[in-house]
Amino acid sequence: MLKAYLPDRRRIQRQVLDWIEERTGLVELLYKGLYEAVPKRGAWAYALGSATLVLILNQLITGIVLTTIYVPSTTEAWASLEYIKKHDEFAQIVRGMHLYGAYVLLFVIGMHMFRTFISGSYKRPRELNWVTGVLLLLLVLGMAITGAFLPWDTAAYWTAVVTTNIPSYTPVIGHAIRAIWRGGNFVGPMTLVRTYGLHIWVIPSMLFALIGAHLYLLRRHGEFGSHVNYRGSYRNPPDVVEDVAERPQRVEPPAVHRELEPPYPALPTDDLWAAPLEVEDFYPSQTFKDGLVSLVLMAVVFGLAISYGAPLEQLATPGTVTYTPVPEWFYLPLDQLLVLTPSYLISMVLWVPLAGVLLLLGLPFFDRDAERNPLERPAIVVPAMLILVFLLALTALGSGRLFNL
Amino acid sequence: MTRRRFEVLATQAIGAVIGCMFAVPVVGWLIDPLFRSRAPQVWRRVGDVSRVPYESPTVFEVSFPVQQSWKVPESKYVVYVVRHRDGGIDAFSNICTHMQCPVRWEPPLGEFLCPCHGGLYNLSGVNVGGPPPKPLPKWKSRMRGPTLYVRNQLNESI
Repeated sequence: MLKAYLPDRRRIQRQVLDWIEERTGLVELLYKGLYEAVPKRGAWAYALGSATLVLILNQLITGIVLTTIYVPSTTEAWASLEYIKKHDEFAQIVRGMHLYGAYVLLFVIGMHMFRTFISGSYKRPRELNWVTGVLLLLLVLGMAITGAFLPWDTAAYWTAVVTTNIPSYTPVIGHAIRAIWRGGNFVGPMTLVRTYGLHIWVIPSMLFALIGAHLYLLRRHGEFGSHVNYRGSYRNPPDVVEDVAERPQRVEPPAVHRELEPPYPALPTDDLWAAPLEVEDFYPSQTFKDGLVSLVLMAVVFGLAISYGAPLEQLATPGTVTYTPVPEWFYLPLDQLLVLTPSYLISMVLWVPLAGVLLLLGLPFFDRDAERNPLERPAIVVPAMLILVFLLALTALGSGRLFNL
Repeated sequence: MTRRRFEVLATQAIGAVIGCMFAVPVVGWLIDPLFRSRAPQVWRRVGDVSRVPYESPTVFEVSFPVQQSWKVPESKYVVYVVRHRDGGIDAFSNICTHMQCPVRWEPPLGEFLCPCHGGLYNLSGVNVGGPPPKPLPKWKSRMRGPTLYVRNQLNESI
């Protein structure tokens, strides 16, 4: 059964694998996973997706370990982390990896998303890859903001107050959402436990289900890379049309052969884009690059964790007239929007992000054209860059304002 | 009704009943805070305010129960006592009506400033600048002789 995969001299191994394969089908699944043909050009940029996965696994592992010491109660949470900080060096590293891992993760997700956008990888039939990706981004942002409540130091307390207050500007049900999240009118013990429940069970269960969907869809449609893997573009097809079937489909060993159909024949020229010009095996050619990029990022996380450690401010107290709450850096654009929005437009704090989310979710549905080259689709790329500049400008304004305090 | 049709309907009905068994207690418990407050209403002594200078907001601290379920130690809250020249006394909270950040009295400005998003309130608590949509809330209060008492309830919902 597996003669195609293994040479004869490894017969015992093959017999064992055959036995397992006959009962589970796992070996074929593994080989399909490992020897998927992936595009060769631009492969370093495609490593950002795996890096995201590795950083999420970092969050999962360090998060699980943290539940063995963190106590989700307003009277104990801060003390448990204070204990870690003062007396438990390894746990402090774990907490640092959880914190800086989250920061690096958000940054890498942003780059992964940017790469996907530039290479037009969200186009038919990959619309739902993009949609699940956007939902994953929202869930990760949800993890980041709920996680920020948990230390119950001053920073966490005011993050909790402001964050739970934002939905109160929803028409009609706003105050109800706030009261349900807080467990009452004021931030208190129930707020912390409810948010802890969101952070360790509710959001992660959705997150991991969607990661499964994201990866399933990726493999279902295959990796076709960006326009650099093809000759010409949809608008400017190449003069020489070669036979797609003669393109190298994969490098050795040819474990599993992918069907060579043009992906989705919408245009007469689609044959050109049926398969990338050059491919290589996912394992080990792409995994090597993935691994190296992940290693560098994890080294950054680990380095920050051991050299700076996770900060912990004073125990939370609502009674302060000197403390200036500062948002997490990834919420700076939203925070700056709060500053710039006058009181009569206050509900913009909800509508602007909502519009942003709808634009992101809708992208593959209003940019339906098959063109993948970013230079050939200015109608989409230019407005997107302007939005990005707007977000960066808000971040710059926000950080300037906070540094001047 | 065919046997098959019956099985289809029964499967759906059974699913709905099991779903309700999950939904009723779970949703009921989650939205419970909408229907009752478990925080006991208390009056707390702020102090003798007869020496508070006129038109100069002065910080007092009171402890209030933030009981949402089980008992936890009380939390300290800020009362900004403002003595007006007409003899009126206001017991402002320092909860900004914009995002509930802690506002502070800024003597050079002569206004309350919210450090988060730059909200401003004047001496009477009126929102005079920045994003806040409503005046600075006051604690419900009463005077007994020169002594001010406040209750853990704001004069308006924020």
